[in-house]
Amino acid sequence: MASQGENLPLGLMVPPVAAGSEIPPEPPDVAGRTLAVAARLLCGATTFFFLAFLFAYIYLRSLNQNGLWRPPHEHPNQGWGAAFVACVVISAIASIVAGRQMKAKSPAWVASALGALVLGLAAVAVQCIEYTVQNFGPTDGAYASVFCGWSAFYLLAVLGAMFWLETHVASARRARARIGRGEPPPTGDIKEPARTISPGMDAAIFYWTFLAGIGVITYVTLYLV
Amino acid sequence: MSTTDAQAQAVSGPAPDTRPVWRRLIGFNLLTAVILGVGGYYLGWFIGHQINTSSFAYEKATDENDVALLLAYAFGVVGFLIGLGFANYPVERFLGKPASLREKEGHGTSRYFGLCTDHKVVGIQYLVGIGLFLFVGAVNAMMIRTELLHDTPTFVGPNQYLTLVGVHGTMMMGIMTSGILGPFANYFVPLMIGARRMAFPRVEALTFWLLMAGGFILASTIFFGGFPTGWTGYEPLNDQAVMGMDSYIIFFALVGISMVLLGLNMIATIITLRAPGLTWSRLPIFVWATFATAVLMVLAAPMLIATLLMSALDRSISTSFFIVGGGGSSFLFQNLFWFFGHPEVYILALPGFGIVLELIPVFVRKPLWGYRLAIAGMLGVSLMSFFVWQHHLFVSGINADLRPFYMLSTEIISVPTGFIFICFMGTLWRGRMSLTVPMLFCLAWAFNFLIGGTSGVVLSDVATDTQLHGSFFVMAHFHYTIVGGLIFSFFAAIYYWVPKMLGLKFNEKLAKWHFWLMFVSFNSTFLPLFALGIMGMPRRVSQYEPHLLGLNIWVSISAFVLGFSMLIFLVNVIYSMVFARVPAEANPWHSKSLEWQVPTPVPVNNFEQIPVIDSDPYDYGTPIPIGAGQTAPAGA
Repeated sequence: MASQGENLPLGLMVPPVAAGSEIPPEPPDVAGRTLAVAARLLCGATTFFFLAFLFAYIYLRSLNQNGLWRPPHEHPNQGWGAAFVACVVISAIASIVAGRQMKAKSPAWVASALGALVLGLAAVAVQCIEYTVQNFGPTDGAYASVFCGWSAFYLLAVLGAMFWLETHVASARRARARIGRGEPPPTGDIKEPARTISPGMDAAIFYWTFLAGIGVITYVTLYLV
Repeated sequence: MSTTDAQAQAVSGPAPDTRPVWRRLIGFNLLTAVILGVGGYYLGWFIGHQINTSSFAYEKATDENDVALLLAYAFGVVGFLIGLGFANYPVERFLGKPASLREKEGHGTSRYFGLCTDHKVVGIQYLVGIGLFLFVGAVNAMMIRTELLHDTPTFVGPNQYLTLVGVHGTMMMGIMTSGILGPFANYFVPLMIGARRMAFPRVEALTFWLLMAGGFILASTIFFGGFPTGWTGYEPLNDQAVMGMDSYIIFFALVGISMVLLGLNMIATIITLRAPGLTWSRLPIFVWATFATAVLMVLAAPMLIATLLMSALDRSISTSFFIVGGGGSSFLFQNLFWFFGHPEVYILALPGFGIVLELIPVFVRKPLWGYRLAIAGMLGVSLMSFFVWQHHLFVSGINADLRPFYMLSTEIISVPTGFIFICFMGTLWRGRMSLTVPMLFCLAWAFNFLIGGTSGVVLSDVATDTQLHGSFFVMAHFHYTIVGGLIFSFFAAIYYWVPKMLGLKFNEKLAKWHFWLMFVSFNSTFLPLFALGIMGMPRRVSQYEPHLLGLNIWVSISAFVLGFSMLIFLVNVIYSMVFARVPAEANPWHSKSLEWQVPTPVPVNNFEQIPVIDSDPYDYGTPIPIGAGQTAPAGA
């Protein structure tokens, strides 16, 4: 078959897209599977990211270079640390509850998800407060460096997970408001956007629960060991 | 396959855009991205200079403000991505707008200069973008060899020489992580598995633009004094280096993020978007290689990102991850870096394996021999690559009791690699070989990678490694592995698949000139480096013993010929694509795999209907191409 390439700009590449032409969407169940796989892969990547900090902790602690691993006065605040991990764990549990309520078609799932969201953000706030009251900073030795680096990037991951959760809550609330106003569903390249909320929510909950597990390991390593 | 409505629309072309040029330039596009990128850069620079605490007093006093430069790069990248339109979708989703698949994209050539969710466009973007940075890396290599024409520094000073070596190595190792997955897997994996798109089209586009931003940031290191560490960024040199080191850190961090996202997208696509009937045991071997590489990317690259962030914190706010005086350890950096760095070698090599095994059945007209063995080899290499990293630290003072384990694990990894070779040879056996240009590159791959692989086994021996570590022998080994294994297969892929991607044929005579000149000059360049290494020529120095001068001159001249062979390729590209413009057939190699069963150029939708796969892709000996007879309903 002869090429149509010579008719195109530079005679190559893919054909220009006519206005209005769309690639047909995948069915919602395929989108759900895709998100589920992505969430699990993201968990793998997150694990290896924080594994670097765990390795640094173990390596530098065992080396204790010049006795500078952890000067005696360096103790993170146990109360703030416990509050932080409690917020993370309860938020993850609330998100699981929200997921189950959603599957049971209970409208209360939005409230549970909102609770998870608020608690997750509270965890971030608690950790930020702790930074201001603790008696050491990131430059005070190896432990202090690992503590600040690990916890700060964990906070960024928590914020990412909260963003993901928020998109589903916001989508659900917007859809409810639209139904309340009696408006028709939006037309777009995904014909049934409501059907994508559930698999998306499942993926977000899976990732957030996994991240909460990493939070518990973080707490045990940095505060208790 | 018949022409679809969308294809018919595409061929007739979209309605012409009648807006004036200035109006077309307003919006989310490359121009806006550059403007916002530059604006973001200066905003970050300004904020960095406003931070005024005692910790940064030294930096401000010496004008070595790493905080300002790191913030400038970070803000610059964010601005660049916002300008391209990558923030639009997250903001819409934050506001609760429903999920969608496509961006509001341009309809013509502008698609190639912005955020585009068509995997074919992204593949071509990658091909051009990577080609640009390969060229920069190659020019650096030519400058390095020019300097080594003399045994004392003449062409550039010692510090500039180190920067040249560093930029060359970092550019090649960083950009080429996506050298095959970027252009070829993005373009062809959806076609090979019977899909219409990648699983996450925006993420696919993001990986490309992150890589491009990173490439320009690395090139900007020359404005900040360069960096002395080579591509490995070792501490404590890293911490002591001037601000040019920050370019290295941000570049590799962006490459790491791009790798994680690229790998994630590939795996999700391969697992979830395969056409009906395309079982795991029918998956084309290139797709398996992509899968194995993607697993490494997702798991190894986060370690790199974390390591570089620690390094950035050490340099900017004086933490002590790697600073011995503060309780840190520079060996920690080596461990973390090589935990990523060794899988990185296979991230580069595995796609090359996949390409070669994908191509040779086509050119010997035989099924791939040992399909399952090849898969076992690829997955085995992926798994084992996480258990060998300490062989890079044999001379760094690691516990002597650990050496035998890492020596053995490194030697054992040659076993699954050997599987690939067995499959290669088994497929060639009694085949009717046609010596096309892609096939020539595949054969050269085998020759080169064999030398690279066996010299690696030699180096895995502790006693040998302690003698040859840091010498040109090591450099010869990894150039045979990476250039011989990756770049040769990269060119095989270019000559094999570009006629499908661009719809035009290459000039075969020029292509053969390119191949023979490249093959001969490559070996003439790197084979003597083994001898130079044994004779005591160290890496990363521009001053060396006078008795090594003769061989170095030979190597430099060979390297210039190698560079000249690349110019022949460039001439071929320009001649074939701009002047000759000979249309390519839809399936010029008479391949049976799915990507060749669609028309050229590939329709926007890829397939009118999703095909049903009823045989494997190497079924040479039966007349019907796979998936050609049956189709499933769209979206099935």
